[in-house]
Amino acid sequence: MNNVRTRKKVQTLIPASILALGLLSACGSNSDAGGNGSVASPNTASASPASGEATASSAPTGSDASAQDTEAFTISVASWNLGDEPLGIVKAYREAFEKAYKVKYPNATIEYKNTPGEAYFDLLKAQMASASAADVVQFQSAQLPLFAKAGYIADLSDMPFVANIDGAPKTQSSYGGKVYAAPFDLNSNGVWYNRKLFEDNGIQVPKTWDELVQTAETLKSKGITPFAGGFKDAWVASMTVSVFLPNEYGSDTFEKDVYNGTKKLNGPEIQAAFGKLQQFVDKGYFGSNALSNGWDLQRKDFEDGKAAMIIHGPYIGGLVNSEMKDSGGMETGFFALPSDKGEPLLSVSVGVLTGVNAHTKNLQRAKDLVTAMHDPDAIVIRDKDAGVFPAIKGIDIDYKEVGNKDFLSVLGSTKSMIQGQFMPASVGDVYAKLFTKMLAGKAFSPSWLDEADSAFVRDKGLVAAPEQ
Amino acid sequence: MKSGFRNAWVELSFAAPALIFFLIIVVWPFVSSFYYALTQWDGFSKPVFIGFDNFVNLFKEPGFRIALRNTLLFALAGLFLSNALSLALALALNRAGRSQTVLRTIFYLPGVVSFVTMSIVWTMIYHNDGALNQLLRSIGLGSAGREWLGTYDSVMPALIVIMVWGGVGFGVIVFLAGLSSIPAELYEAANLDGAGPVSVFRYITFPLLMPSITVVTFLGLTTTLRMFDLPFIMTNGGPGDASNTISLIIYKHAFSYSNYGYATAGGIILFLFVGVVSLLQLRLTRSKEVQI
Repeated sequence: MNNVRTRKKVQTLIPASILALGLLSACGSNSDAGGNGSVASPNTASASPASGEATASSAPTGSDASAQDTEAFTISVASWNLGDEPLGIVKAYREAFEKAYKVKYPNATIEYKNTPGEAYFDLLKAQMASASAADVVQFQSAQLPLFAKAGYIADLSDMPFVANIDGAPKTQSSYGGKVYAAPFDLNSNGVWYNRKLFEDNGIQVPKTWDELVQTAETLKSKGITPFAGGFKDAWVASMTVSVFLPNEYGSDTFEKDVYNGTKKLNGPEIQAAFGKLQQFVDKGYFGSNALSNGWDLQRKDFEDGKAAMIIHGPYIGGLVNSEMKDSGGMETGFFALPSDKGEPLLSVSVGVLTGVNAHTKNLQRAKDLVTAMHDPDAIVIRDKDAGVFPAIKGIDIDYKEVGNKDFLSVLGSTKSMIQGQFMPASVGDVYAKLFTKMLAGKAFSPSWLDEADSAFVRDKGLVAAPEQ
Repeated sequence: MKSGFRNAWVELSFAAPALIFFLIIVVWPFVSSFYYALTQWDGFSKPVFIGFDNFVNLFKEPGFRIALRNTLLFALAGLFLSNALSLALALALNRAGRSQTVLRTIFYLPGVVSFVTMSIVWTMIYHNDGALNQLLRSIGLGSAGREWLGTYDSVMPALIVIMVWGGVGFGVIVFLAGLSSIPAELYEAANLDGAGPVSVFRYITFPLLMPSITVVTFLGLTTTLRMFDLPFIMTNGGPGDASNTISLIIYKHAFSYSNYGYATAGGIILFLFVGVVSLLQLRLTRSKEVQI
């Protein structure tokens, strides 16, 4: 009798379990959860028709050609920005560093595993966790502490490029006093402007906050949108808020102070930044399509001369000119967002970091590939026409695009800080959300920032602590 | 007895390969998610046990409460608007004769259009300079125009319109199949007894269509309660939290913030939410079903 009962139980249990768990798995799945609506980093396909004479000075060489390795092998590189783009700049860059690599490894085959957009970072995290990532991996500064802490990336402190990096590139390539990645390019966001529109309307580059407001008023009175808006894309909204923050921090250690508990994210500093954004929103400086437009239409408004300024990163000069090459291009200019507290404070960071998978069977070969990828000749090919700015010292590029020259000049002459190092990603998202709330017509209230502070307290444990 | 017991093990051994695979791939991750929900975990480092903090923080998060409300709004809109419209269209199409095939295809078409294509088209319609505002201006109602996806009071209705437009065809097809299975004799008898169209619908069509309503409602509810792709692509949950949903919050915490413990806690809440609502719905609609 018991056996019959057992059999019945087993027979009932199996389909019931399968049914119940099938339901559970169906409830938990989302067919589009991988998401393809996110916008790829602008680094991927920015290019300009401007060509500049380039001079590469010191070479961070690591490959010793005399110790040639003739064995045939395949080495893989994973990235989100090594795929082909219309002007063939990335292809030329790949060919250049492959040539440099093959001096030492003539029979090597480099396999590219390129995944565009945000999907790359989700994939990379999964591959790192399952020890199935490529030999050489590219990532962004936010991922470095996670990968280094987990032991997924190799220590590159003994590599030659380390002697040629300092400041933000060195800080963002390091974790716990060791260098884990080679920084490729420098990023900083600020205000790009249409030189012709400024000249035609007799406008000088604003140096103070009041001058900036006056500039916006002059443009608005002439029917020109002062700043192109494209805040349908969350990353644009988040990036725009991040440009307004450093000037209000009062010190380049503000975020460290927040981490250590001596400052708060709902304090007067962040309130002041949102107060300024509210001023821009109230006066309609971002135009009437600010929330309808994504990053593509934002750029179009700037390119069409409907908007005179656009708040973005170093890619704008090159990208705008590549998109406008049939209509003769645009002379752009760049300035740091002025402050009403004196000199502006600029956030500078590294865009692309290249590391080596700690589990690779080809450690030295992978390290040498990192060196080849940062070969000065190859970097010049990649950066010159695309408006990319090398993070490694000693590679001087004479950009023809005036905006890019402005960018370099501003970068060299403005006080800077590394923003977001100790801030969880959720905080930036809360800022972006609050900004869109203002754009949708709600008046900013300081109590909104309690959400940012709560997100920080909740997720603080997910970021690397500052070194004391 | 021994033979029966042996048979059970033989049957189990046949099921074992698939069952073991299923246990490893589905059951274990699901069960372990209850542990991860009690930790702070970035997906790489060792999870740190924090008790029920994730659940407490979720309910404290202002965006979560709004997302819960929006998720319910999508579900209710799907339940009443989408189902009612599908039923009305199916009833009309059931009498449409030869044009039924063409009309059925037209209504089903939005359901097979790629979601990305659909979102681009709707973004252009809802844009501040888009087709809808131009239409309003052309008929003298320009003052009613707005950034449909960028205004608090219009973003949810605007998304619900897309959801209903995209999902109505599926309901139509299921209801048409249900309608075709109702015996014609019942309608003839009702006609002979002098029953009007309302009585025919109330006492014949609706009760006998109940199995189809159960299916459409169940699938509709479980889809809308997990609403993700529509707000993710069209608004990213904005402006502010105005179109945020629970699935979107879970996605952001897991994949944008690397806060997998918190996201898992959100997943468990969503699972319970979907489970309870679906069970209640099944119990309610099944109790109304009638057999001929």
